[in-house]
Amino acid sequence: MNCHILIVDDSPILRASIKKSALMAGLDADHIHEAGNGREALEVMDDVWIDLVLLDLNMPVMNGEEFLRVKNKWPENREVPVIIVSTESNKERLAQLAHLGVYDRLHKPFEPEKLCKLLSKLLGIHA
Amino acid sequence: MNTLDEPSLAQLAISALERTAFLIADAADVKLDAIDFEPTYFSIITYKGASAGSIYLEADEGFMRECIASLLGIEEDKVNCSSMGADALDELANIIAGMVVIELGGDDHRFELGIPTHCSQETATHLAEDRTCLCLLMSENGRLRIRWTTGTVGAIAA
Repeated sequence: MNCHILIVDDSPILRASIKKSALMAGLDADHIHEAGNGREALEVMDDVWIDLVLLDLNMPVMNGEEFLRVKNKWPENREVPVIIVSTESNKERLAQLAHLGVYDRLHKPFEPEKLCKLLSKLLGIHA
Repeated sequence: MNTLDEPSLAQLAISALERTAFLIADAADVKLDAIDFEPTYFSIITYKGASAGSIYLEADEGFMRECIASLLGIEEDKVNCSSMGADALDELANIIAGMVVIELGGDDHRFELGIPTHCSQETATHLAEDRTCLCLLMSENGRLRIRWTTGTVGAIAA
């Protein structure tokens, strides 16, 4: 499986938990990248081709919404799908994010199995 | 706008633990079951918007060890609580606060969550004087105490 995903969350333990689900979904450990905030995520995307971003919103330095706005200015990254993984529940804000190219969202708390299925569906992999 | 009471706060936290980490916990008596409770991990997160408030968590090492092991799918004796405990409790605070604002009406009202931060015991004592709602959860090996306060964001920042 050659897909590369990027997990963007300021919590190392949540990144580890998401990574566990991604491994269960059949991704290679070498193809799972991590960033602690939006700025770090942009740096990763500058170095590696990313097929899917799992994005938290509420982060220090550069939050998820700021990351989306910058990412979308880069032609090569504009089409990279993003799944929001966040506690955000406000309909209005989520609608605004949909306009920024968010493919789907996973509300925290989520069952790891749900993330696993979503990854399998999006990346066309079979665990 | 809705509000919370002790049973509903406890139920939100129980649900968060089950869904995030497959960790089973039960609501306990806030006074009786907390007599020898010695929390070593503390985290606070504030929110503002349609209303303002905070969620403050206190956990002992047994609870955090169990929580991290469940979250990462590893044995409890492999958990390095000193390096992961604070981060895990911060994330738990973030998740519970997210559920609290939904309960308060977050689908229709806009709330903004802060960033969870570690909190000293001195601050814990200060916040205890301003409590609105308090619950205690017991897992197999430890305890987690949750305090929801409203209208205290300014006081906390000060």
